[in-house]
Order: sequence, then C-alpha cells, then structure tokens
Amino acid sequence: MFSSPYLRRLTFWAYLLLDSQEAEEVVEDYSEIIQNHSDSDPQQQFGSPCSVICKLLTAKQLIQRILFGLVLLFLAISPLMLFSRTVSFTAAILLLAVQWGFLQYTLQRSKDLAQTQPKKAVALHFLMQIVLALLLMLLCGWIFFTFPMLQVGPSTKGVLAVACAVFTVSGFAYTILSLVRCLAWARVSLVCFDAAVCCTLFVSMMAQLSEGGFWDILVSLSFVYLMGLIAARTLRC
Amino acid sequence: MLKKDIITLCILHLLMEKERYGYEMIALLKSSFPDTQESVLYALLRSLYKDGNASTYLQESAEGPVRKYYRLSEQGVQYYHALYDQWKQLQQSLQNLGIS
Repeated sequence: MFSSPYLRRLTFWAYLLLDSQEAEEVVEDYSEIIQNHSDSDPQQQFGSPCSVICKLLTAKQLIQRILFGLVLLFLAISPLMLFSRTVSFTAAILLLAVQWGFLQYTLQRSKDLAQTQPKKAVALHFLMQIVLALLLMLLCGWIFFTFPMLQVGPSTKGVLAVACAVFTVSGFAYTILSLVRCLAWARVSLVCFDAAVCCTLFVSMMAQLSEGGFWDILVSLSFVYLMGLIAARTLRC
Repeated sequence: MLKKDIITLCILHLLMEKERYGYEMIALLKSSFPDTQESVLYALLRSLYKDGNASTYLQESAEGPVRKYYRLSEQGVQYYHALYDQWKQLQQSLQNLGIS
C-alpha cells in the first residue's frame, strides 16, 4: 500500500543522480525488494529515496554531483553579476566556456534519459537545458556589447567583433536547433560557435599575456585548457 | 569501515554457499545486523556487483516473479579469501589481547 509513491520518488532520484543504465537496474532491484515487503512502510525500512540513492554514489560521483550543484548555483546567479557590472570581460569569457560545458552535459544527459524515462527527470533536465541556453544567450549578448569598451588595439577589436558576432548568432542557432532536435544543422552551428569562442579566448589570452602579470598568465593558462577542451569536444562530435 | 567489511564478508560468504537472490540475502543479513538499514545492505551488494566480484542472472521463481540471482565471480572468490584472512588476523589479534 505504501510502495507505489515511494517507488515513484525513488525512480525520480535514481534517474536524477545515477547514470540511466544504473538507475534502471537499481529501480528494478528495489521494485523486487519492495514487493517482498508489501506490508511495511519503505520510508521507514530503507530511509528517504534521496538518501537511498546517495548511498549508491561513489565518493567520486558524490563530489561530481556536489560540484555540479555548486556550478549550477553559480550560473544561476551569473545574470545578477552581469547586471551589477562587477564582471570583467575575461570573467565573462570564462563563464561562457563553463556554460558551454554544462549545456553540452545537459544535452547529452537528456538525450540519454529520453530513451529510458521517467518523464519527470527528463523534464527537469530539459528545463535545466533551457535555463542554461537562456543564460548562454545573455552572456553572449553581454560580451558582444562589452567588447567595444575594451582597451585594445583596433585590429584586436576587429577580430573580437567578428568572433563575438559569430558565436552570438551560432550559439543562438545551436541552442534552438538542439532543442528542436535538428541535430545535423546543430552540429554545424556548434562548430562555428566553438571556433568563434576559441578565437575569442585566443585573442583575450594574447591581450592577457601582453599585461605579463602572474594573474594574467594564470588566466591565460586556463584559456589554453578551455580551448583544448572545446577543440576535443568539437572533434568528437 | 570495519562493520562495512564484515558485512561484505558476510555477503561473500552467503554467495560462496550458493547463488542467491537480492531480497533473500538482504533478509538474512538484516536478521544478523538488525540495526543496519536495508538500503546500506543493498548498497554493499550493489558495490560488489559493480566491482566485478559478483554477476547476476534472472530466473523465474516458484512463486511467480522473475528474480535477479547473484553469483560470485573468480575475482569475488579471491576477494572473499582476502577478507576472510584479514578477519582471521583481526580475531587472532583480539585473542592475543585477551578479548575473546
């Protein structure tokens, strides 16, 4: 009599926190165990569904999920940071790269989940995807309108103007095309978007390096790392 | 940590005796470790499976539903012997201190 709502909540948490293959197996196992316990309250017997699933996470998976939550929180407050004008051009570019990564992750995850169910977990990831896409658009727009104020030479500004225009348009196209599952064209816009972001990162890195400070070199190194990540992801797709 | 290893040893021991289905093992373990939540027992069983110490197969039961049975792998047998040796050493150390 208790099992059905409990199993539903367990299924939700399993698909939210575990890989879909593992989630499917765990839900099957718990259905079998709960069937044998039909007379008792599973909440008392096993604990809350969230804690049941958390017990199955390895230390590495747990750290990944916590980090994911923290970055998501950071992304959620990023529009506030943009409006308060405390974000530098460099930080915005870094933020753009991080958002790109998360959008990729949620797209992959929702594609994966769509094959297995349940609807609630798919819907949550889809919602997350839309929010991330909107944030990405906001950032693209912010960067596009901010770069004319940078203290860089005219040729650098020219390159940045082209790169920002390309990633704003292709980023928008990529998001829309991915959401409507027009995957072939989404891939084309992704390549344009990645190339433009890499170009922006490269130009920003050169500008940082010309400053020559410790912090500038550190930021440049992170740009190199991000460019590597983006290039690797683009080549894989 | 010690309790976790002991329960793992018990699961491996149960599987050394014969192939068993998940609920059967959880029920047996619960009777020996009543203050341990069943979800913890399941998590340990699952980690043994994920680490390749046990494999599973489905089989219909006499009562009707299909059940997932667990069987030890070669690696699982080795892991059982390693844990058993550790347990024996611990027992010996405790006996040397007069704790029986």
